[in-house]
Order: sequence, then structure tokens, then C-alpha cells
Amino acid sequence: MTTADELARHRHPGDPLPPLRDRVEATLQNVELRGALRVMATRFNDARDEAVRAPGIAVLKDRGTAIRSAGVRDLRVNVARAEVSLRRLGVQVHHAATGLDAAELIAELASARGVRRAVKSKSMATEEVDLNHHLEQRGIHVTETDLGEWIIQRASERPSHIIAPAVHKTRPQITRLFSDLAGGELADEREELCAFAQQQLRGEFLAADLGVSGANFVCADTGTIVLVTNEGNGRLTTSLPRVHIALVPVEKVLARFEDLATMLPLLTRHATGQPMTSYVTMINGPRREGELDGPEEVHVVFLDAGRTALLGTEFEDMLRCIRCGACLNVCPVYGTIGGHAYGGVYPGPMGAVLTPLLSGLEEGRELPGATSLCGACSAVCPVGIPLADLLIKLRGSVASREPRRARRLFFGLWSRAWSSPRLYRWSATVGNRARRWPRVARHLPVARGWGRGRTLPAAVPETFHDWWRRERVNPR
Amino acid sequence: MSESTRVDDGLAARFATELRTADGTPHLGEDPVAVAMDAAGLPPATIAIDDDPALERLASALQVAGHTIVRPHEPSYREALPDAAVGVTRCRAAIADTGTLMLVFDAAHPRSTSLLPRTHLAVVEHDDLVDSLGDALARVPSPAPSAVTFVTGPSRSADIEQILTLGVHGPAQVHVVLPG
Repeated sequence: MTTADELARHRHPGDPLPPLRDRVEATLQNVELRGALRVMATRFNDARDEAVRAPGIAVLKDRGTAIRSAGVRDLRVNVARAEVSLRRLGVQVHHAATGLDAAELIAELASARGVRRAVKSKSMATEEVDLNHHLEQRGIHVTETDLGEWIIQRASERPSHIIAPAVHKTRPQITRLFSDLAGGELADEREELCAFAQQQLRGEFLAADLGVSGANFVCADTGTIVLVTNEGNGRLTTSLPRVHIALVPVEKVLARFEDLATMLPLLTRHATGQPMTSYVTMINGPRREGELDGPEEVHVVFLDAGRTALLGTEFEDMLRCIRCGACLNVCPVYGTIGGHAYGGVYPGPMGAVLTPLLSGLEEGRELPGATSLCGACSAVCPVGIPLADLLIKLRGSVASREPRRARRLFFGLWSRAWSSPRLYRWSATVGNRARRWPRVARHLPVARGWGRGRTLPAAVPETFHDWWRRERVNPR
Repeated sequence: MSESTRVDDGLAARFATELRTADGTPHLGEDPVAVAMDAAGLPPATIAIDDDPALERLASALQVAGHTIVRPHEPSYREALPDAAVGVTRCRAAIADTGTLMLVFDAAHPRSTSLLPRTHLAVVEHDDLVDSLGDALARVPSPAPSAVTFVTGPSRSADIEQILTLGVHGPAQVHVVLPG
């Protein structure tokens, strides 16, 4: 049996995972986690609800959906155009077919440039390719600089939310962690903890020779790399070290610079409820002659890792995702089990769709089942991704890959029985009888898995058919 | 007062309201020198000031007041900057919709002035004020500068307990002097 602490621990791609049921059970035991998730969901949802009530947001959503749909439709062309624009600005462009390729390519670039210390701003793409591990294997000292990411890096854990990575850590846990780092007791107060982190990390920024970031968007027409942040670590990461490498999943490309006027407010309002985040940084290549800061070299590594394979398939819509995290915040399943139980890097509804698509139906095959199909995710999505529909389609794909004889036989017989009125009536009577002994019923072969965690409906004195027959014969 | 001036006054007031919502401090119609003196505190403090004609008066006034002034064109800039208490910049556009400054970087306006000091002071002039993000994006110069940053209030994080803390990596205070 696994524990919540074990699930939180850093995991390399392909490492074995306990079954979903065990992962869920482990997180349900964690009372602190459930409290933290409740606070998180309330804060994010209240802020977003307020921010999307502003006039014009519906129009913005329609426009954003159209921009992203067209962007995905012309994805290959847009990436090719982005490459031309980036090169014109002096950015060196690379392509990685797989996550492993991307991690090795970046590690190689860093080694070849004599990099000893790297700082990172928050990037889920670098989590996806397990970049830190590959850099560390080359003897490069890597420091996450987003406060939440730094907390979990120091704890050897992994993010549990795509925009609030340390949402599962309580303040006392963070105080203990930082006190160990400081070699003395820190006060259990947010201000002091933040000040300690800022002071430690400022030194890392000044010493680093490589800054690694992701990208929220890259504009195909101008080659502009866009980072949306709040703490300022993204600015420091792309301003102070002499080399900047951005790992950019191919779907992040926007056709036009002016699309940002729609996409930026759409992203920030749905992510944190802010009309604008504290910082939006736009990078157009390395520092120019005479400039005092900014990297001397800028690299963009375009990451495919299963993405272009989705083009033209029924799952193409998923590539519109802008990683705002709203679907996590509204999801009753995420709100109960948190991010780690999902197993992959991306949790919540977007993760339950994306993980099986990117890492193969084998690794993520249980995830489309980790949903209630209530549709809250589809309703909140700023770019209109029909997440609930995609989850149903994925369940279908998974089921069709697993020709289970017993299951087929069972559903075949069921379908046959309920096609006949006589057998239907008989089964209703038998089913109703069985419910009088719920303890027995839930241990029957088929009901065993299904009945776990479910309450069987109460038995009724007679079935509807019996009642109807009696009423017709003997009307009141 | 002409029609266009009245419209612009509306922009400054809206900018101030939105900036306050984002935990920044607007100074509507105040003297930039007085605001900078207050932000700097008792002399001598180290103050970084971008090389900008609009900031020259402010730079001399602070120097006369006994502060140590660091400018990008001086060789000491890079070494002195991490210890500067205040960074003073202009902006290329100020967005009324969201209280956002658009900073365009070049040799005279480095990225660090508005990033490393604990306090950032920006001086907005009448012509900088625009309505929306779209208007500001249209003002990004061509050919594109190496970097542009949009700043909306101070640095912030809610990574501990989902409660807001200001000044985590970037400035904890953002003062913006607006035309009155």
C-alpha cells in the first residue's frame, strides 16, 4: 500500500506507479491535504468568477477559442514561421521529437557552454521531460526559483497543481523545511519564510550562467517569447544569466503578435483572476550591443513529444489548452484527491486527457476514469475545450484496446436480457431482491469492483412493473 | 481645458484606481522629485536612475539631497545595482485598463533598474497613457527591442497557504507618478 508522502515524491518518466485506486486511497487518508485543497479551490474559484464577470469576457472567450483553433489547425506552418522569425532575431532554434531528446539536447547545450549553475523559472514542460535530472547528471547545479517550485524541489517532491505547485504543503511543513536549510529555527510566518527564500535565491540568480524557462506563448510573426509570471523570478531568469534556454511545446505558438491582446487577459483572468499578472515579459532574442543585461545567447527548443501526432485526430482540440489551471480548480475529483494521485505531471481534467494522449494509452489508461463527467471543466475552459467529451472518447479508446472476454460477455448478456420485456422484468425482480442483502450483493463477481465506495440504492417492496400490474387490475 | 485633455485625465484616474487594486501606489499629479525623496528615505541611499532626459531633474535633485545616484552609462551600474534601494524608470506606455506599465529595454533602460531594487518608481507622462493592452502592444517600437516587460503592481506570490505576499523576487513597492 502506498502513502501520500510516497506519491508526492519526485518521479522519473516511466517509473512504475501503483494502481489508481491505491493512489486515490492514499491521498484520501491525508487530512491536511484535503483541507489545503479546499482552501485552494475556494480562493482560485472566487477570484476567477469575479474576474470573468467583467463585461466583454464572453467575446474574449470566443475570440480566444477561434485564435487557438486556427493556431492548432495551422500548427506546423506556425512553428515553421516562428522558427524563421526567431532566427531573424538571433535566437538559436532546436527541435526535440521526444521528451528525452529535449532533456538531452538542453543538457548538451549547457555542458558545451561550460554551464555550472542553472536557475529555472516555473515550467511544466521541463517537468514533463524531467529536465533537472538530466542537467544534474552532467554535474550542473539546478535551482528552481518559483517559490512553490523551490519548496518542492527542496523537499524532493513534484508539483501537484500546474500553477500552484506547492498547494499540498502546509505552512508548518514549509517552516520545518526552510529551518533545516537555514540551519536554525525560522519563525512560522509567511513574511519571514518568503524573505528567507528571496535572499537564498537572489544569490543563485547572481551566480547562475544559465536560465531555463518555458513559454506561455511564442508569436510566429515576430518570434516573441512570452512569459506570464507574478513573482519576478521569470524576469530574473531571463535577464541575469548569460545563456537563456526556453523549452516550448509546439502548441504554444500563436500566429500573430496581436493575438496577445486576447490571449493574455484570457489566461490571467482564468488562472489567478487577475486582469494582468504582475509581470508579462516579452523576449525578442539576445541582448543588443551596448545593453547591460539580458542573455548573450537565447535558444528555443520546440518540444513535440506526441503533440503533432494528435493533429487531425478527434483529440486535436486538446492542443488549444493554455494551461490556466481553471479545470483543476473546479473539478470535484481534483478537489478531493489533489494532483499527485493522477500520477503524471499534468493533473485534473486537462491531465486526465493529456497524460494518456502524450504518454500512451498504456501509462494513463486509468485516468479518463478519474472523473465524474459532470462537465464543470468543459464549462470553465477559456478556449472551449470539450474536456468531458474528450474523456468519454478516451474511455472508449481505452476500452476498445482491452478486449476483455468476461466484460464483453457480461455486457452482451445484459444487452440481450434487457432487449426482452420478459427478461427485463425478471431481472428487475431479481435485482431488487438482491438489494435486500447489500453485503452479499456487493461481493458478487461483477458488483465487487463497481460497488466499492458506492452506496447501493435501497430495496423497494415491489418493482414498478408489479405495482403497475396491481394498480391496473385493482385500481384505487 | 480641451476635449482631448479631459479624456486623458480620465485615463490617469483609471490607471490610478487599477494600480491601487494591484497593490501599487499611484501618485496623481504629484511632483516626481517629492515622491522619489519619500521613497528613498533618509540619505544616503543608493538610487538607480535610467538614462532618460525626463529623469535628469530628478537625478540632480536626489544627488543634491545626499543620495548616491547610479546611472546605466556609468561603469559602476552593474556592481552597484544589487544594493540599490530604489530604481527609477520611465515607461513606453501606461495602460489605464489594468494599471500596467509597459517598459521597453535598451542600453539606456536596462532590465535590472525595475527588477533588483526593493522599490520601483516609474514616471508616467501625459502621452504615455493608453486605454488598453491592445493600444500598448501597438506602441512596441519596430524593429522589436530585445525585451519588453509589462509591470502591474509589485512582485507577488501566493505559494505559501494561498495567501498573498508582496515582494518575493521583484520590487515589494511600485510607485507610479501620474500627470494630474
